[in-house]
Amino acid sequence: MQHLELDELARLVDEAPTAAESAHLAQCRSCCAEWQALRQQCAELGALPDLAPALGAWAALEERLQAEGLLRDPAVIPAVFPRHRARAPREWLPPLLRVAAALALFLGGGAAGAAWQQAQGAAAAPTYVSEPLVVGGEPAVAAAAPAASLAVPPATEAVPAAPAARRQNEARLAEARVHDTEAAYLDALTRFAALDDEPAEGDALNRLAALEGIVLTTRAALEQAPADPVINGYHLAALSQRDALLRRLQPSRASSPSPNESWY
Amino acid sequence: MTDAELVQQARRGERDAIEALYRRHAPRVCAIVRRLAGDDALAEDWAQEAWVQAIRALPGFRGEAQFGTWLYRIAVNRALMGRRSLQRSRPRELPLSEELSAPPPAEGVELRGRLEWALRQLPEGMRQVLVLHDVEGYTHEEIGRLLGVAAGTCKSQLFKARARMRRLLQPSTAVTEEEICNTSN
Repeated sequence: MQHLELDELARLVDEAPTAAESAHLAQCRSCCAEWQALRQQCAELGALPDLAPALGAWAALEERLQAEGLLRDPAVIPAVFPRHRARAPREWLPPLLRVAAALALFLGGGAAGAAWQQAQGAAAAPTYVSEPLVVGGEPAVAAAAPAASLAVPPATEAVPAAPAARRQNEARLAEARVHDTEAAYLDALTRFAALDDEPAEGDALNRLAALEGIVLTTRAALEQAPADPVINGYHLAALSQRDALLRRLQPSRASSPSPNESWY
Repeated sequence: MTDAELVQQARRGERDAIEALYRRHAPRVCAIVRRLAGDDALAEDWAQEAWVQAIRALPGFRGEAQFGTWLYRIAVNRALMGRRSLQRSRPRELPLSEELSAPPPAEGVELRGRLEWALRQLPEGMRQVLVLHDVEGYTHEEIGRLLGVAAGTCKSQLFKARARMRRLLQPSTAVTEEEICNTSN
């Protein structure tokens, strides 16, 4: 009697036997036992348990992710953006975040400048006011002009005050300005981080709109200070980013996915 | 918390979410990579690579597949790529040293242990096909795409691998060194 080869029996684990193979299995106990053993073997392979990773594997991975900027500690800046994303060193911040950071610095600089101006005693100069000033314990001015808005500030009447009370007001004003600027900064970062995480074309369009907003904002600022090199710099940076994004969007719309694209 | 919820947080780089995903899926990733690699030290590196690759790619993960399925595919791919690059770097060294390195387990060793041992004794091509098909449940077509071979070739390798495995697990039948040396993938 010609027994079935082990390879043939292995095939019969998945496939139906031919008539000849069935006839042989029906009368050969040895082949039938091997066939059953192979079926059992496959079942046992399919039931193999998962394996625990090596001790310290998570710590090693965590360290690696941290080094590559892929981990964010939520205790530091909640819901803002990954502090260190996985990028080449020269691209530590993505372009849009750089623009956002530049804008935030611009806003912060403006706020600090305004506070400094007041600290210098420019009593007749226009002031930005975000919360009531207190003179001698009484609210003197009540207005709310967010620092981030870059709107032309309303000129307010200088309030004669004793030097101590004026310094106190200036300190409060500067503090309020810092808070406003910080809020604007975090808001900008949150928005840009959210957009930066979404690579789809629709999100690129959102980015484009956001960049357009920055361009308009800096353009408005330039109308107030057309020769200011810092504002010009930010304006040009936003313009260049917007144009670069426009250029990227054009080919991406025209092209189709590559057949060699990775499947995951 | 579901995988989808954790993935949303992990996409923002949140440590706790990434760790939770890791704790949930690391054993499976480890098993896949270790069985395909046939080498624990290599497997540890490749599993870590797979995780890093997956975390990097999370922003592009659209949730069309289960996160686990997606992750395990990355792990499979990473292990297969690792083997290929290893073969390129030392092509003549692997088969013989690998197969003769581990002594067969004693009779009393539980079946799982003997299966794991036998898997490691298989020639690489056979082991990959057997692990992907019989352990991980991939189809011949999927395996063919992953390995760059025809589905028919994959089938043929699978039947040979099962037969070889059966011989390895039979206590009375020893695989001779000559047979091992003559093995071709």
